[in-house]
Amino acid sequence: MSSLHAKAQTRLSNNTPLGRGAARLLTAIDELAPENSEVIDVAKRSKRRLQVNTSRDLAVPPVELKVRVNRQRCQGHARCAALAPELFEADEFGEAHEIGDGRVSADLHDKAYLAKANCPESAIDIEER
Amino acid sequence: MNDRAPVADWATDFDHLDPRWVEDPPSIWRELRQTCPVAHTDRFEGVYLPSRYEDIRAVAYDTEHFSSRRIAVREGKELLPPSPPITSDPPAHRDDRKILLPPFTPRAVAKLEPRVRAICRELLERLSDRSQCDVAVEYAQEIPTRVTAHMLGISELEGARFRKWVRDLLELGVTDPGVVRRVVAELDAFFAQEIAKRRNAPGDDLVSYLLDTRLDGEPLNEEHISGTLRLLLIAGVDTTSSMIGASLWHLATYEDDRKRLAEKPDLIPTAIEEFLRAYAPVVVGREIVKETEIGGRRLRDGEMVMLAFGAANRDPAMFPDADRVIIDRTENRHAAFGLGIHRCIGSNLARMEIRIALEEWLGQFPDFILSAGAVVKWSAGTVRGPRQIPVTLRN
Repeated sequence: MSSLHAKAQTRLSNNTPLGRGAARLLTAIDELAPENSEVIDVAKRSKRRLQVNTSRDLAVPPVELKVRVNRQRCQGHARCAALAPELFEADEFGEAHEIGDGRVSADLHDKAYLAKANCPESAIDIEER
Repeated sequence: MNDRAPVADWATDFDHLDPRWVEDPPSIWRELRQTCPVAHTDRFEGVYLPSRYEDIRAVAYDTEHFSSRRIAVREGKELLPPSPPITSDPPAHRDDRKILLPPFTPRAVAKLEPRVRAICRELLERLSDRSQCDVAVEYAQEIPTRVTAHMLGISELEGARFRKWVRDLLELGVTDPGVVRRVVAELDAFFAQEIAKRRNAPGDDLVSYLLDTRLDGEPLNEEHISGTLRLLLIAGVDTTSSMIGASLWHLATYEDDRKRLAEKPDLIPTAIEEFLRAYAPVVVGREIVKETEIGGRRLRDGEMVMLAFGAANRDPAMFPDADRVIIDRTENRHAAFGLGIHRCIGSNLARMEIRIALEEWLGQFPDFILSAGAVVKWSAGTVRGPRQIPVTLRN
């Protein structure tokens, strides 16, 4: 049982009959829940309880990436063009832009993130779909 | 510089000319980050010193409260004639900078690679039968001076004169405004001659490039051209020398890193970024033109802020294991070339020079080490780098 969950139970059971009922329900959920499941407390905002099972290894479908240089932020350090020349190039003033529509083929995903991680102005946006 | 009062307390009395700053500035920044992240000194008529990455970035991005019309922390309040674009503020900055960008793009700079390689080889040739040398004086300091001269269309043999101007300005000039005035006057006189020569016989050089430049159809006035040329000479010489020197000093000191780079030259560009992070040579200043707050501290207008980019680069909040030099660090958003609109215009050139200098050096001398008992002194002032690096060449 997460500490957050424990806290929620204590708070609920000390209050109204409804609270006591909710606390009992939480205990029941705990007993049913598998080892690695986690209860995320959303009570503060929605008064509803959400339980997600994080023990499942969901197969992640390949994401589509698109890179974009934010021209307002770019100051022409040109790190992206040096680290991922397949994805970025510098113009006649040395300021960078993405090549074409910015779509990143699967083999270049690492390079896209590398370029982003090395931009001193944090001017590279990566859209994941 | 030796007769300065010792620093009593780094949070309230810091001084970048103090021997401790010259010797080991990261230890000071580390202390300040924990105890007083925006320090102050009454020296130099009042200067603030942020030591956290986020505060340094905030100042660099804020052109409303911080002006670049004074860019060096030094004695004397008088304004020098401008050196566009480094001394320009918006809105004029935009055009002043744009003028200078095209000759420094990665593509333009790549064309200079063969010349840089030839310079390095020529210097190495002289060392080929030696068992000892001073890699700072005989190699690191020679390369950028010659490259700068080459780009300005000036004899590469003028190097000694260039280096004297640069050191006088960046070191002696910090405490002596008279030296600054003299150097500016000498540089202007020197460039007036060069400009006159290029008007008669233009060439493929930056003086001719500036003479050819038109802004809204108008040529740049001579004051602008001379100011920009002063900047090109001053900014590209000691900075890049310091970085080539610091990189080679590191390799002469840390055997594992030297062996690794010598065996795997592909790693050199990544390692250079780490050297830039760890040994960022430049501190610049900004004048506070409007009172504001940085890192929770009020900054009074009329005083200066010192941007120590090396301090930003050592901030553990930004760089894990910040005080360790990790030559294959892959995520490295360092601020060695500054941040924001005043990003060093020569950064592509500097990176190329450092890379070729290391490739060529390690190609010829893969095995070298600091000479026994060698004392490496670092320069004090606006640019910090090793002045002498006596090494033993073991091939």
